[in-house]
Amino acid sequence: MSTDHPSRDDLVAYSLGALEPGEERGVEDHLPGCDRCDRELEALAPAVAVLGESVEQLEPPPELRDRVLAVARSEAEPDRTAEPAGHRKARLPGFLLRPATGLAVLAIAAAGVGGYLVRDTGGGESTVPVEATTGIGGSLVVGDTSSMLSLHGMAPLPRQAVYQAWVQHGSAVRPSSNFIPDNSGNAMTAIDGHLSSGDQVMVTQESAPGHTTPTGPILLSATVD
Amino acid sequence: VLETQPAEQRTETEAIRRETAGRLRQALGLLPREQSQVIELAYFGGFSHSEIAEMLNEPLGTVKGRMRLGMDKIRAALAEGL
Repeated sequence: MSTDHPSRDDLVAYSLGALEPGEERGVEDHLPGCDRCDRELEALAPAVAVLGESVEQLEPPPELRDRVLAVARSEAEPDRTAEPAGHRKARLPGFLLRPATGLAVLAIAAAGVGGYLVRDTGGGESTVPVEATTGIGGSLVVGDTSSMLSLHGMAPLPRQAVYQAWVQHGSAVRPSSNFIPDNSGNAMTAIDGHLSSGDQVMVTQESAPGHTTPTGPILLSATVD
Repeated sequence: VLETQPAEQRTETEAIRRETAGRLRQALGLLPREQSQVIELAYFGGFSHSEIAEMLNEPLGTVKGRMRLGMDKIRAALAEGL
């Protein structure tokens, strides 16, 4: 154990998976045998755990899983199986690592089938085509309380810029998640909340996260039937 | 854990989990936007605090402080029976 305790700020960032790799190693080198920092992380753990529970986990019906996995094995291109958006997610404790795992495979496979929005209605599924600008394809797996958007062909972003998902319900548009594509142009992001018939999921490029209304052109949209 | 519980208890556990998730969403919604934003970008977006600071054009210390304040509020909300 190193003698200097990490700051509380750094312990909080560590608990969120937000430290840089070198900083993270520093904390992990320090932790063994340090009761003080151990207690602090234990105190943070319930808050971090409940963050993960704040997005409902989705479980597709077995028949949908089997059908799409079969397509994935036979048709999906290898580079479509690249890791989701966000190059650091592999070591994050966030929900994108856990409940999204199965859906990621489903969404990627659906993209391989031809770029369709796959709606899981609980007793079956229906497909609705995704409208996108040239070169972009993808799919949206719609669940009761959250959905997973998987895209390919996304252009690299300028520094600080992000892709932003939006949900249009009637005349109201609410911001959803920010995401960045990986080096292959693949991206995956969760759309939190229930999507109703007629709701539209859209994606724009924004100069920075935090916008409350779209400022860029709509690159892709999918309307729930 | 769920597999070891009888169906009735499992349903109750799921109901509690959903209730907690709903209240957590409310708690996140009650945080100042600058605090919930950095937590969401870190936890759900997978960005490091340095990347978030760069994206938001804010000092790193400010981003770290917002994360800590936001998480402290979530902890407090949990302690009060979120």
